[in-house]
Amino acid sequence: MNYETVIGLEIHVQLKTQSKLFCGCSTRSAYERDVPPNRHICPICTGHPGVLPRPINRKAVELAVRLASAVRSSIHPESDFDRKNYFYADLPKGYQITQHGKPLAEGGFIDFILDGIDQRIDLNHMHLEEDPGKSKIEGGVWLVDMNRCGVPLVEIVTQPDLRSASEAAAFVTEFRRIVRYLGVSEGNMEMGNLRCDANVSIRPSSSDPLGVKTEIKNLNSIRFLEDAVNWEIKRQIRVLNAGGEINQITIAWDDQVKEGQLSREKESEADYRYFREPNLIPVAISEAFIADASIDLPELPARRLRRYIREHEISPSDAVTLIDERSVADYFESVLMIYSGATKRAADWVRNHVLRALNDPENAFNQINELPVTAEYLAELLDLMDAGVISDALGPQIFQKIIETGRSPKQIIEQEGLRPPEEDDLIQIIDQVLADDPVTVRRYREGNDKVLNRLIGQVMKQTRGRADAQKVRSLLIERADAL
Amino acid sequence: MSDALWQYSATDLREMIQSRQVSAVEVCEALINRIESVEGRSGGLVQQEDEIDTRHIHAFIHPLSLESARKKAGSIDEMISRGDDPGILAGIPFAVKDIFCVKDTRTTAASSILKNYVSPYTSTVVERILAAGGILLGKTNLDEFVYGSSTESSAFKPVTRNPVDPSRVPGGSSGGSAAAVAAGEAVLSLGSDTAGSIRQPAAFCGVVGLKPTYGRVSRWGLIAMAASLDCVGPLTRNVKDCALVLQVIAGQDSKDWTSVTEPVPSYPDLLSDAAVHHTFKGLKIGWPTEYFEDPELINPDESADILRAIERAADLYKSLGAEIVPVSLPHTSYAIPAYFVISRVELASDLHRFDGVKYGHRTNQPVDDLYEMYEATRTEGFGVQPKQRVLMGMHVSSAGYADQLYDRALRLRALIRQDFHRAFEKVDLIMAATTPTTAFPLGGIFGDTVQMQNADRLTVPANHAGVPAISLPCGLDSSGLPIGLQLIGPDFREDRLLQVAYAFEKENN
Repeated sequence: MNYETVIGLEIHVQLKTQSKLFCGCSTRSAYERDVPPNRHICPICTGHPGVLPRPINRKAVELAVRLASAVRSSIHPESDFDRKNYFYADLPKGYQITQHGKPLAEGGFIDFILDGIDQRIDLNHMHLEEDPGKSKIEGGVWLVDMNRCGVPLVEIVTQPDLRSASEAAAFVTEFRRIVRYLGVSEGNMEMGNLRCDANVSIRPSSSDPLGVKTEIKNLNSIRFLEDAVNWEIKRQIRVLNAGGEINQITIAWDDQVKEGQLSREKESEADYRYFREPNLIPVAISEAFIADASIDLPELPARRLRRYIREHEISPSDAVTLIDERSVADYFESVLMIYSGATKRAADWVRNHVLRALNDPENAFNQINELPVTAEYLAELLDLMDAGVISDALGPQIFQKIIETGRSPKQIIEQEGLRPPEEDDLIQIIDQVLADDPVTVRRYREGNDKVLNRLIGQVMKQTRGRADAQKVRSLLIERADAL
Repeated sequence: MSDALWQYSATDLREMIQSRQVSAVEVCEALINRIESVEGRSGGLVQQEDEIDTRHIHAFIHPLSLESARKKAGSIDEMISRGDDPGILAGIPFAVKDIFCVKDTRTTAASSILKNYVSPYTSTVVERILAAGGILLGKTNLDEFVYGSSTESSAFKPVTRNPVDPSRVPGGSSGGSAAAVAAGEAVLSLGSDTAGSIRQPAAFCGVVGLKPTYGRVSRWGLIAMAASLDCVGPLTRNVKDCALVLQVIAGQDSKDWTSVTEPVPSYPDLLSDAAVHHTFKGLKIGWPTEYFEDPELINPDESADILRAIERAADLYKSLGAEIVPVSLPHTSYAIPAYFVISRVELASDLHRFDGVKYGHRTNQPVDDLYEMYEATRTEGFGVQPKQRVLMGMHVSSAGYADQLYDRALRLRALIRQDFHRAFEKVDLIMAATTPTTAFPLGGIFGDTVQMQNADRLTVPANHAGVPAISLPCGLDSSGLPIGLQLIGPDFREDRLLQVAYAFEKENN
């Protein structure tokens, strides 16, 4: 039998705030690896008796609203907080403050491109909540780290509209780009800034009712997501084909063995006894607040990607490289605004030289805005090459000089004497080379064109690379033929 | 003279201390002497009650903080001699219900699950009284996690006894706080009121107790019972003292999002004869017929002395120029059932945190996994009341029951609130009895959870509605036990309650 896969995602995103959602503790542990356990905690986030949540972190609300606004989710003018009650070692209050009845926003959609085809996935809703801590068992001892308790999260829940693991992966890739474009989250999946749960079910193709779903928990990389979903689809098909039935369970993905671990209990048995959190008043979100939070919303990455492919005729794979990081794409567009030459040439330079310089561990910078080769300098360099002021061969060398000195291309060309020689001077050099190497000249004149390159090389050496190789070639031929 | 100092009110003592008639140290020593003569053993774990205990009060719990009290009293005296402003409550010894966190001291909620818990911070109300110059003597006993109306369910024994008649309960859950003030062991105290836990013990012990408007006083540092109903308030010897304490503790607190920005008037200044006289001009006092006639709320035979006392109070108010207007609060008899559900849903969730992971009791039994640890810890640490209430709370908030029970209870609460709002369109405040009976004997109804909860039936409506209510002494019944007059006002009209209460107190003495 043929089956259709139905996938819905729940994505948790840590909002990029300095402090936690309901107390003043630092969120540093979400971004730095060497923070000792239980360093950034207080009576509030560790659930001491008598504590109350502080008024909500405004910045967190602002970032969540910014995200909602960017994905066209409709924001409720007032939203409530509820308690989700359950016992766990890393949940100090024994309940998580979340939004159940009246979430921050509902609806919205995310567009992305998969294999050249435009896709749109609808969102069910989006809500704010506090992150629990972390716990693990080591040597038979439970260890609990509460640094993460209370870090602000936004959870987005998609409609069950995804139809394959690769679609789910493409969706999360796009979503991660979006939160980074908007500046609402670092989106570092390895650090847990963005975590994914996937609800997976299958149904006979052309059948309407949804199958029983299972939930794969805490997938912290896009590759794990794809592997885990594929594994689960195969498992479900095997179970159904063997005449069995799917139970509503949760699955923990073990990436070491590339296998899921099935929970024993049925997920439907969990009862979180949601009720309104009496210590918090509803959050009112005014039109003005939304407007402020949505200021300078950038063009979303998928849209940018489509534009690069269709308007600039950049190949899809090159375009993805350019749009992946907003700062790189912004840089590229700044270059385009100044540079008068071909878009493709600018794109190639950004991909080949700028990105390489950023990724070079030798360099002291890793942000594009720290790169000494500003968009202005790169455009200037490209224009100088196009105008023949310098040879193309010198481009990379000047690029490197800018990084080393921070000076402009023009300054470097002047100071290093890199302008190509005047034609008269060049002819003089060529004549000298021809005169110095009569053997090679003779072979050339006997019809051996290959030796011409040796002569060109000698001229280039004499000019320290400043001369345009094409020009040297034609002048050489002219002068040699005239001998 | 200094031996009798324990009898004075805070209002008098602050005058005497600030004018240097007496020193704060003398006042402090007088209170300590008084405690030594009437307190007996303060509440502790695993203490068998002896015959001698039946003659003492046992208002406190844990060791008293007498050394720091003496030190603070000395520093208050120094400030006064230097001419510095020592604060509104300078040199006034006070006691705190052991449901409020005080930094570096044991805070147990009278439960053995917190028997060794030392709080890392101080509640806002205690901080404000300390900042106003108050001298903390110690923590008072209460029902375990405030779950009760007699203070008998405390894990710390001997149980607190009523200073008026030690064979009777002091009421609860703020029984220790009421008894301490009534017995002269503290000039004033702090309590919490979720269904009547300040007003009922105040009535039983013959002191003044105020439940302010929800949001008027910060709950930061108050261990929650039912966060949507909990209120913090004072227990005092008289109405002026009550006004004094309220002025110190009221007002917005950035640590409690539900506390309100409503300005705090100078409550003591509003108790001048002229201001009170002015209030009585055209004053309409509501007489809620249900509180006097509904057979589910009141038995006229059982409550005969109380009803007579309230009628006498009404006559006095009439003589002062007030008009007594019958009003109806038709949903009053649903207040207890709705409270049963709402409070238990909230408290079951609030008690989740006592799990042995972070602080408090953790089982010593060998366990195989986390859930076994929870089970053993909570079984050992919680007494009968928390267990019973958690079970019910989990049941009524579970999927499938929440709609039928919890959501309906919330709707009832909205109706009760509406009753009050409608009544306050017609009248300025409402008068009623605080309790349907006077103090009952120790062991009288302890163990019967429903009957014990029912002791709050005249006080809990104000908690549902969030409105302020005060209980003040209004005579004695035929057995010589104090009767409480309850005045209930609209939101944030504590000023009016205090004025009308003060007028009664002044005329009645």
